[in-house]
Amino acid sequence: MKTISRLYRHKLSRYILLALAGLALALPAWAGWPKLTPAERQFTAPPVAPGAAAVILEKTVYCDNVKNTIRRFFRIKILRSAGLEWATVKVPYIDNSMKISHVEGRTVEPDGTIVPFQGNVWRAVMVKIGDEKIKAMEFDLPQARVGSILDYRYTIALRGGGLQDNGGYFVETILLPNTTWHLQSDLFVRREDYTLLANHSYNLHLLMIGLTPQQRPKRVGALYTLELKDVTPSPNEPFSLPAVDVLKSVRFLYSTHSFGLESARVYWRELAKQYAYAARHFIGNPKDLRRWLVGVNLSGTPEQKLRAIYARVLQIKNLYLGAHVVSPRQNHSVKDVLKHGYGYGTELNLTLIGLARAAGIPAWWVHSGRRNAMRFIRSWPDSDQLNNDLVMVQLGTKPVFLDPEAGCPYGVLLWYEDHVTGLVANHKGGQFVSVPFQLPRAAMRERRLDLHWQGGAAPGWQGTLTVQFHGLLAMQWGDRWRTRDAAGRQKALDQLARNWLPASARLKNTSSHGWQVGAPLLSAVWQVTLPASSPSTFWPQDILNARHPPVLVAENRLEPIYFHYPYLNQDTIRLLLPPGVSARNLPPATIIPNPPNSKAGLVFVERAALQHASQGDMLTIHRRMQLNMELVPVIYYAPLKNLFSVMTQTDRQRIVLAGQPTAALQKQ
Amino acid sequence: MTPRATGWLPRWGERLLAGLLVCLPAAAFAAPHPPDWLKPFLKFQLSPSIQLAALPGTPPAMRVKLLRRQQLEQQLLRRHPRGVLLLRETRLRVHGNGQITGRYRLVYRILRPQGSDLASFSVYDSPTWRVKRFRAWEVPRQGDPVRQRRKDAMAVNPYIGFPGYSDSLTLTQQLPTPQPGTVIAYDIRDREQPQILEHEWSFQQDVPVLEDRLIVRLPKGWEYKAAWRNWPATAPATAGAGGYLEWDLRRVPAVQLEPRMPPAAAVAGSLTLTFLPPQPLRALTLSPVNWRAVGQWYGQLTAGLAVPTPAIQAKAAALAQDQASLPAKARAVAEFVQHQIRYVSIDLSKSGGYRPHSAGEVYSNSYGDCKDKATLLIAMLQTLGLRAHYVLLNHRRGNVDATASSIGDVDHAIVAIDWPAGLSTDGLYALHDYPGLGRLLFFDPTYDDTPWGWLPAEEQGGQALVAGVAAGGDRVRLPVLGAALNHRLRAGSLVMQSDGSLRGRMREICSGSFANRGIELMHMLPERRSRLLNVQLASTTPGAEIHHWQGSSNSSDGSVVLDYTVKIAPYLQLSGDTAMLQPWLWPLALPRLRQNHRRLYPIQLGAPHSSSDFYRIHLARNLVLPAGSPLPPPQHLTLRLPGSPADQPPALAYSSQITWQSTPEGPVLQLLRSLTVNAFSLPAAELPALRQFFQAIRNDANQPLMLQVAAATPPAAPGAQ
Repeated sequence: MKTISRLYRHKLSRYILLALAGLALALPAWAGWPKLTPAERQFTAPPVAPGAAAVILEKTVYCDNVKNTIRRFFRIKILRSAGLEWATVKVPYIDNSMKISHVEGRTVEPDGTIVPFQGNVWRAVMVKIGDEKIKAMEFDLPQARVGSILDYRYTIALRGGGLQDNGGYFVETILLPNTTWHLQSDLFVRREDYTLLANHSYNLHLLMIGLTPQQRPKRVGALYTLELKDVTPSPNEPFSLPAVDVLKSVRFLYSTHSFGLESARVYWRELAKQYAYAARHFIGNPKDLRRWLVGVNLSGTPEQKLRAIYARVLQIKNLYLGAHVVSPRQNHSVKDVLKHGYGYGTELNLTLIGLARAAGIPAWWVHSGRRNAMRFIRSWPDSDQLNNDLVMVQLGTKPVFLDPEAGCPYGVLLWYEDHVTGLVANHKGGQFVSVPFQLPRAAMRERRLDLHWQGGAAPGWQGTLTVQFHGLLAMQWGDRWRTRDAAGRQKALDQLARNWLPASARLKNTSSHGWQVGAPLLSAVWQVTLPASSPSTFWPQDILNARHPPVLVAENRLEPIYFHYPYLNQDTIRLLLPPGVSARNLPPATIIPNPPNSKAGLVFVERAALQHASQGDMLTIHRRMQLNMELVPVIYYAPLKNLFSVMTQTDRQRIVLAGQPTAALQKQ
Repeated sequence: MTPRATGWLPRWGERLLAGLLVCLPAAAFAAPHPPDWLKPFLKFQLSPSIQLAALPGTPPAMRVKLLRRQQLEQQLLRRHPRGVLLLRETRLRVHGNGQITGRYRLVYRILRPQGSDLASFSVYDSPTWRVKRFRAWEVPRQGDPVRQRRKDAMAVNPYIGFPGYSDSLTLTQQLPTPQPGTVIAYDIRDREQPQILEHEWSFQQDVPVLEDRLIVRLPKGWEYKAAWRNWPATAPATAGAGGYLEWDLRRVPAVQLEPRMPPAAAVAGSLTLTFLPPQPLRALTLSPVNWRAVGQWYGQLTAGLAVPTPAIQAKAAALAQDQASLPAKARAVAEFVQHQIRYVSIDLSKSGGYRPHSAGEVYSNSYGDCKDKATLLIAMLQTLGLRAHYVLLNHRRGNVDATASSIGDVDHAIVAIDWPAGLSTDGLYALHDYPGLGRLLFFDPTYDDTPWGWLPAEEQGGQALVAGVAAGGDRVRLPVLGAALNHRLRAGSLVMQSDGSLRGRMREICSGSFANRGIELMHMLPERRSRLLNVQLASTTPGAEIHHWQGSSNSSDGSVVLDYTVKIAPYLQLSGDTAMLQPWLWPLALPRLRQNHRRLYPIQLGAPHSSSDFYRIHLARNLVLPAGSPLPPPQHLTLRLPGSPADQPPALAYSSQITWQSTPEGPVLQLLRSLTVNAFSLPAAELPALRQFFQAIRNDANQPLMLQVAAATPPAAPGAQ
């Protein structure tokens, strides 16, 4: 043992030892086909996925970061005919930086007959842009059928660096492949072995997702190994967190820094300094920008000033959002942006910071993560985690976060930009801040339907439908249709409103406002006709089809429910009943929670009321649905599902409109 | 003093070099100029005729002509298209060895922001159809034009995400900043070594066309055949000596996109040109002058491929040994090819996409595409003594033009079996007697879910070519199974519980296209199936959940039986002594035919089919029908095609009936409903009638039922004491 440790201290011997150890570990999988056990032959159904089409009996991955190679071995059993697709193996690779070799395969038929793969290995160009080619290595295992066991393996060699390098942004300069072990796939895995032979010249950081501390990869020198059994397939449930945050994986990151949180702190400090330097270089001296504030109303409170400056920045053509500029030139500073009148996303954020500082309002550049990509892990020194940038402005004691880059209305961020950690760039080394959660009012939809009975030759309910989208929703719908012309927007709006009304409804959009970038409100009005032979009918409470999409239908759930962002939907339907027609069978009001509590995770109110007026009775239906949370733990799935079911039932209730309009009104 | 040359270059050479040194960098950084052929379109204004007509001195005849032109252009653009194709020019040169070189020029103008998709264009590139040049220009109203060359195009393999391999690529030019007013142009040159000497000129597109020109130059001794589709036949405008042909079409209106319309190729104007070379080339290539020639060619192309090897013979014998009759043996073989041979397509352009692999190869690999599977099935049936043929068709009904005999319309292959006269036909519905061909049984071994004896719904009634028969080939119309065979019966009994919820067991008996769907559901993962079914049912009946789903297929008649339990909680809406319920629980798949302008094309209804619901709802004992409020009246609605004889079944029929039965256990609602679609499509003029028909069904299906609670107590479960 002593000899081995002595040898290990010697650099050359170290490599030889590591290579031998790696070879010893990898040998069973590559010297010949691993022996097929009786248990594998008799395997019929995984315990957790009884209807599975196929199952991975064994998976072995050996990553060699010294030679930059990856070897993979798969043993798959076909359980149902739908699983036959696994007999076609397609491995995409980048032509110039990867090479796939040593492709071998065989099919073990249900009766034990072994059919070796002797066919063609196809290599076809999948995508080619310029000189860059993504190819796919493909082969089909012959004689595959239900009950067959498929064995195949291949080696990938990475040329010069690797695929998933560390970005090289500011601090990192290492171009070594950062290995990720994706432990969960679409199939149930009975057993999987992973091995990494690390390059010992650099520090290696390790991050586990979805694994217990006991499942941490074992390390022997530069060798990392992990063996897992009975790995469940990825759940693929609707309304789930990003896969990268929930699926089991192990990530390795090469770094110039040593391990541990203290080192990560140093990393983020250095990174913040670099960001601050870049910002200072682009903004220049804020005093020089004061002349660009001429015409901006800087009277009033700091917030009013900031709003005025923000509106000024939004006037700059945003090339990131597809604004058209003839032959744009490159901007090297905020002055250039203001002089040219256009800029790309980050340039607009820095322009806002520059102008705010010029007006005496402290503002900073903040780099943050995105909730739709992956959650931020502070102990993981990887700048890729901060792939978004915002502006933080200090108004008194309250920080305000803004994003002119995305064309957000003042005080509103994109849904995935809030509730994240951000790194404030300053020359002292920065600090982490929490970007606060937005209120449901930041994503509000208000609809109002006013109808009255119209008799005559074409009887029916006539009136107007008005919708107002606020904040985040105004931005989302605006971005979707802003590039269309007026006729195109009208058509799209008609299409939208048709989905809300019964199939027989006739409607025409008469006006719409708020299409400009950053508008906090987008509104539209339609003329609506609901043909009906008589006003006597069963009137559904949910005439505007407000039903939440029936997403929570599965009996059980494995992952938390991720609604992305809180929102508020409010509908008012006013029906002026003709004299002679009355409403009865008014359903009782539904109020969740009862007693009302606006801080509850979900607030729902639906009530119908009847008022007597001189022209006739006025039936008013009011519906309000407010979601105050974005992530619901899985233990609350059943009660949440029940709440949605109650809401849907309430929506389906009908009110009886009975009687006939008096003759005087029918003549109208 | 005369300036001297440097010695290593003559003086003119020095000047040339100096000139090049000055000009080259300037040329390298200068914006690319649009080519001369594009320049006239940059200043081109739509409808300039009105200004010209108003000019003093314009002759009256010319003025009338100009005003007429303006009127026609306005007519063309009246629907505010997103763009207009100002010019498309196709120049084809057919060489004596059968090679075809082509040059295509297209000039679009974007009229609306929605027309930005016109700045993207794709062409097909393969070893036998090589794109030599692919240039694109974007000329904005202001600013520098953009030019892209072939190397700027993105190449994508059409088999991404598809089981198989292809050596072809799709090249796409995507221009960067298309705006209204921008002129977009493409210049493409290609060289093709086709096996089939034909060219399809699709001149009608989804944007209007101001001018589309086709110029063809044929070698001496060559002839051609023209087949027009959805457009009046026109002779070439210029037919000079040396096989020079030119067609020039102006102001071609856009194909109007409508819901439930036939495939665009079936309604758009096109011209299929077939080139006829002299011998001996005619014997080596295909000139599809008629379906018989196509059939003959395919027979030659596949000759010797569908031959049973000893391994195939042994397998066929093993499959057949346990079967008593020849039909049963044929079925065993067909199901083996259908289920045990995987669908994997190896598409090498040298085979032209039409030549299958040999039966032996397909059997040893256990995979192949549609024509490979057909080849193996033909070979296996041969060992049983049954003769079978390739059938070429398009997987979308309506795409094959019966008159054009174009192989380009074909994209799928199935099998037709010569079914001997005395043989049993029990359970065989895809069977038809054709004059000259005899009795044929069709089978598609590619679709996993279609049982033996049936034909997929999308293929029924379509045009197809039976190849390799004695006469070479013959076009046939595939059998139509009829509404009675594509049927679903949903039946069951539901009981109201004391809490007002509804529970019960249902059974669906499906055949034909509904059975295909049933098999598809059976193959799905249970969680996915449960999610899908629950979402579907919850869209009409909130709170409804399906449990204990089970499916089984009956191998003797191809039907599928689906059993499940349903729970709807809560079901009753109570208000005082009034209770309201929704009697019809399952949605009827009725298309929403929204259209603001006049319909142009027939309304597609799919293959004839019918569905029936028959179930009972056992209500609580204290629920009664209120006095003077009867049940909804029975509905009997029909929609007949204009001019169809009265003894023919209507194109669509709907009936529903709700009856109330009083039993000692409590009242029972008995619900019976059926919808039958007998026609593949309806004429465009029938759209208002069809809408009215569907609306009447919707009204009937959404009509709730009002009941009264007899005593001021909650509803009691049926039979409860």
